[in-house]
Amino acid sequence: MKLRRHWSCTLRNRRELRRAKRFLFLLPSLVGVSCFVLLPFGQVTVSSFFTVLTGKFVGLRNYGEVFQNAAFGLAAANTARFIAVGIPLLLAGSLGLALMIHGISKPDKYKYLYLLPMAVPAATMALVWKLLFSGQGFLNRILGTHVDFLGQGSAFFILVGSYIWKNLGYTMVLWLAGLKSISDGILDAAKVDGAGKVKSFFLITLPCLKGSLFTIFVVSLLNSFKAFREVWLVGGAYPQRDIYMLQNVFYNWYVNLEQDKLAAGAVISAVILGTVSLLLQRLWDSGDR
Amino acid sequence: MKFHISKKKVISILLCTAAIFGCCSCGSPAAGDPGENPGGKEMGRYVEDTVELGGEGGSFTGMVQEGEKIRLIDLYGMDMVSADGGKTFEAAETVPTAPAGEEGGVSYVAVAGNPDGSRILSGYTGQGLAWRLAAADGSVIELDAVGENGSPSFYSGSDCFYMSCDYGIYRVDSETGETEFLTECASYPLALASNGELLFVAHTSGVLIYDLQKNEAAQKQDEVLSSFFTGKLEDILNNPSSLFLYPWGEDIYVLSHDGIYCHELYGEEMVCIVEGSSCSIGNIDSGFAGMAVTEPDDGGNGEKIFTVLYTDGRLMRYTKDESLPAEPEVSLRIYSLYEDGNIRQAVSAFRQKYPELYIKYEVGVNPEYGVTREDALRNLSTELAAGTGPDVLVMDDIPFGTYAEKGVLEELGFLREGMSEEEYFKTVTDGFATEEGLYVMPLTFAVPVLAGEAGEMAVAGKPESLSQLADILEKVSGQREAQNGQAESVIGFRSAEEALRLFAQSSMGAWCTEEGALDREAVTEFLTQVKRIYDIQIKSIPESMQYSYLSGMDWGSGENALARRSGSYGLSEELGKCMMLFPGQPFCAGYLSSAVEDFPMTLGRLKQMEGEYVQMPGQSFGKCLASTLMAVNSSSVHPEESRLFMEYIFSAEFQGSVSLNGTPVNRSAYLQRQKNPKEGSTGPYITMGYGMADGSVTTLEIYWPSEEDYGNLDQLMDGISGVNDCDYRIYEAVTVLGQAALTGDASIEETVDEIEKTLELYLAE
Repeated sequence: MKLRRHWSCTLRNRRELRRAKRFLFLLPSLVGVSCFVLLPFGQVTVSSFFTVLTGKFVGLRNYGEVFQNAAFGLAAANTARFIAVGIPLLLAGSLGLALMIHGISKPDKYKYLYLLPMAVPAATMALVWKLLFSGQGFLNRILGTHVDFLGQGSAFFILVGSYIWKNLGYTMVLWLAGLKSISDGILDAAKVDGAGKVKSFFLITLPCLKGSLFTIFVVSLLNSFKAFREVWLVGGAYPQRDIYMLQNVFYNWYVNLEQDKLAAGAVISAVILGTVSLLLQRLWDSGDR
Repeated sequence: MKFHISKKKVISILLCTAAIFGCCSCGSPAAGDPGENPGGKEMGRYVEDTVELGGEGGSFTGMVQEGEKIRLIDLYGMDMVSADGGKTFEAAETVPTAPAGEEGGVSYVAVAGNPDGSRILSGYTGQGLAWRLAAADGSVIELDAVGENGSPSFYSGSDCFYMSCDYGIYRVDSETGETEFLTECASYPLALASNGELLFVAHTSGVLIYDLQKNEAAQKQDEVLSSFFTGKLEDILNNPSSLFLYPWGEDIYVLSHDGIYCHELYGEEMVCIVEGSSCSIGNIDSGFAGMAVTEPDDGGNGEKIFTVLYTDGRLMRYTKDESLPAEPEVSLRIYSLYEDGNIRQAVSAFRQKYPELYIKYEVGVNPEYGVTREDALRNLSTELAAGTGPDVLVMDDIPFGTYAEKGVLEELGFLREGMSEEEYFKTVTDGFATEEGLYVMPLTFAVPVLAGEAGEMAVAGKPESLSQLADILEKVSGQREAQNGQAESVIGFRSAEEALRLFAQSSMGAWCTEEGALDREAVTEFLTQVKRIYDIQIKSIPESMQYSYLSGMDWGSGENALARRSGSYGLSEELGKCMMLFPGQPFCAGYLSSAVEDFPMTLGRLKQMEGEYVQMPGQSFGKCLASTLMAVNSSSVHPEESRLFMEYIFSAEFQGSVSLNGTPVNRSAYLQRQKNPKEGSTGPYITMGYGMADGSVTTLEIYWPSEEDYGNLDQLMDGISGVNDCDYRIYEAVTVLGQAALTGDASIEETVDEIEKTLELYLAE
C-alpha cells in the first residue's frame, strides 16, 4: 500500500515537473506576447472608451465616430477588397507553382531564389512602381501614352500584383513543405486504383494540405497588411483612393492627433480579424470532424 | 573529499559575480566624483552673463586676445581692453595715428585688429576701396598691393594679420604692411584663425590646416573638423558671421549657432561645451564678431570661460557654474514646426530677462536630416500622447483646431483677460476665438494691400472683390495698350503660382465652410477671377519673364512664417521687383508687415511712384494674415513658466524692443516702432541702389514716414475685421493644383474636381 502511494506520488511529481517544463519553455514567448501585444492592446481597448489625451470617459462615442467616418469606411472596404482579391490569387498561384516544382528533382536547391522577392526593400519596390507606372514611366513609353497608372483605379491592381509577386515564393515554400509531408504511398495507391492526376489532386493532395492551408492563409493575411509600406511610399499619407487602406487612415489619425478614433478603429479591426480567424478555424475543425 | 568543478562552471560563476558587482555599482557614484553631487545628479552648467562696457559702449568689429588681455576693436579706434580675462573693460589708449572718423574726405573704419592695437582700416576713396595699416607705433601704411587683388578679407593674428583674397591666403606684417603669399585654397575661404604655428582656413569645402613654420599645407589634415564645418556651411553662407574658430594649444574651439564646440586637433569628436539653444548663441539673427577663451582664476576643473562679442555690439561671458545642476529643474520647451525668427528672438530676449529659467527652442522639420512636416507632426503626436510634449507650441501649419478639440491646448483666458482694446489689436488677438474659447493667439500679423499710382487708385476706388479688381485691371490694361501700342505689366506677378499665392492672401479664409469642408463655390469663384487677372497680366509681359520667382526660393526653411506661406516678403519686395522689372506698372499687391524697416521702405518705394494703398480686394476682404500662432500645452510640466513666457512675448516690453517679422499685435509696441531711430536727422533714413533691367543703377532715398503716413497706416490697421486663415492642406491644394486652371491645362471645373478629389480623403478623416 505504502509502496503504491509512493509510486503514485512520484508519478504525480513527474507529471507536474513535465507541466512546469512546458510552461518554462513557453514563458519567454508568453512574456513577450503579453508585454508587447496583449497589455498594449488591453490599454488601447480601455482607451477607446475615453478621450486618449485628456482621459475623459466618453462611452461608445469614439466607436460611433469611427463607424460614421467615411474615410474609415472606404479604407475598410479597400482593405477587404484587397484581401478578397489578393489572398485567393496568391494561394492559388503559389499552390500551382508549388505543384509544378514539386515534380522536379531537388526543388529545395533553389529555395533561396523563391524567397528573393521578400528581400527586396519596400522603398525599392516603390521606386520600381514609379519608374514603371508613372505618367512618364516605362509602361507609358512602351504604350505611347501618358497615363498615370498610380493615380487611378489601376493602382489597386498594381498593388495586388506587387503583393502576389513579393509573397509568391515564400508561400510556395510553405506549400512545398505541405506537399512533402504527403506520403508517396497514398498517391501511388491511388494511381494503382486508377485515379488520374486531377482526381488525385482533389481527393488526396488537397485534403492532405488542409492543415497547411490554414497556416498559409493566416500568414498571407498578415503579410497583406505589409503592403501598406509600398502604398505609403508611393502615394504618401493620401494615396489614390482605391489603395487607401486601413493603415493609411490609422496613420493619418495618429499624425493628426485623432487618437480617440484610432483606438476605437484598432479595436474594431482587431475584433473583425479575430472573428474571421476564429470562424475559419471552426470551419476547418468542423471539416476535420 | 574532492570537488570537481568544470571550466564552464568557473566561467559562469565569474561572469555572474561580475554582473552582480556591475549592477551594484550602478547609480551609486564614488564619493568625490567630479561633476556629481551626492544625489547622483550631474552638476555644472554654463551660464550666460552680459558684460557691461560702461557708457554707450562702442561700435566693435572684433575682439583679439593675448593671454588674459582682451581687446575690443572699435570701428573708429576707440578700443576697450580687459586685463582680467574679460570681467571688466576700460577704454584703451587710442592708437594716435588711427584716423578717427573723417580724414581727407575719406572715412576709414577698422576691419581687423591685433592685441598691440595695430589695425587694418578700410575706406572709400574716389578710386574705390582703399586699405591701410595703422601700426602700433603710430605709422600709417597704405596697403596698395592689396587693392589690386580685388576685395580682401582680413583676420587678426598675434603679431601679423592674415588675409584672404579670392582663393589666395596671405600674411600681412603688422609693422611694415608687407604682404606675403602663403597658399591658394581649393575653394572659397570663409574664415581664418591661427595659433602661431598652424593657420586654419575654413573654406566652402572644409578646413585647410596650413603649417606656418614649414610654409606649406600641413601633412595631416583634420577630417572631423572639416566635415563639421561643411555641415554648418548653409548657415555660414546665409550669415558669414555665424562661425568663429579659436585655436587653443592642441585644441580648437568652434563657435556656431549650435553652440561652442571643443575639438582636439586630429581627434574624433566635436564636444559641445555650451549648447547654443540654451543661450543667446542660438539666436540665428545675431552674428559673432569675436571670441576669447580664458581660464578661471582658480584654474577650475579645466573648464574654460568664453567671452563672445556679437555683431550687434553685445558682449557676453559664459562661465561654468558648478553649483547648478547640468540639466536645470525647470526647462521650458518651445516648439515650432518650422524655424521661426520671431520665436528665436523671443527665446533670446526671455533668456536675458529670466536667466534663472532654462528655455529650449525646438524645431520639428529638419530638411537636413530628412524630417518632413508629416514626420515632425507624428513625433509631436507621440510626445503629446506620452505626456512629454513641449510646454509652448507655435501652431503655424499645425491643425490647431484638432489640437484644441482634443484638449491639448490650454484656453488662453489668462492672457486674453489682460488685453484691452487700447493696448492690443483685439480683432487679431481674438481672431481665432471660438465658442469654446481662445486657444491660439498670433504674435504678429500683416495686412494684404493693393497699392498703385495715385491717379489709377482714384479711378479704381476701393475694390473689395476680385471681380472688381479684374474689371479695373482689364480697363487699365486696355487703355495702356491703346496708348502705347503694346500691353504692359499691370500688377507684377510672373507665374500662375505667384498669382494664386498673392490673391490667396486676401481670399483663403473663404475656401472652407464652417464645418471644415471645402467650399467648392468659393474656390471656383477664386480661380475664375484670378484667371481673369492672370490672363491680363501674363499677356503683358515678355515670355522670357514668365517664370515663377517662387520656384527658385527655399521657402520651406525660411524663418519668416508670412514669407513661407505667401512665397513673398510682402509689398516692399513686390514694389522693388516692380521698380526693377516693370517701371511704370500701375498696381502692385502684397502684404504690408509694417515692421520697423519694412514700412518706411515700402512707403519710400510707393512715394517714388506717387502711389497709395488700400486693403487688398478678395473673398476675405478686410482680414489680415496672422503669423507665429502661440499656444500653451494644457499638460505642460511647467504651466507657470509657460504662462510667464506667453505674457512676456505679448508684452510691449518685448514686442517694442525687437524687429519682428510682421506687425506686433501689441498696439503700444506698434506705436513705439513709429519713432524714428535717427530722430533729429533731416537726411534720408536709408539710401538704396537698384540695378534696373536695362543695366542702369537707380538710387532711392528713403525717409522716415511722416505722422500723416502713420495716420493712414493706423487707419488701415484699425480697419482689420479678423484673421484670414485656411487649413494647410486646403491652401496647398488650391495654390498648387489651381495653377492648371490658370495656365489653361485644365478647365476651372476640372481643376476644382481635382482639388476636391485630392482633399476628399483628408476631409473625410
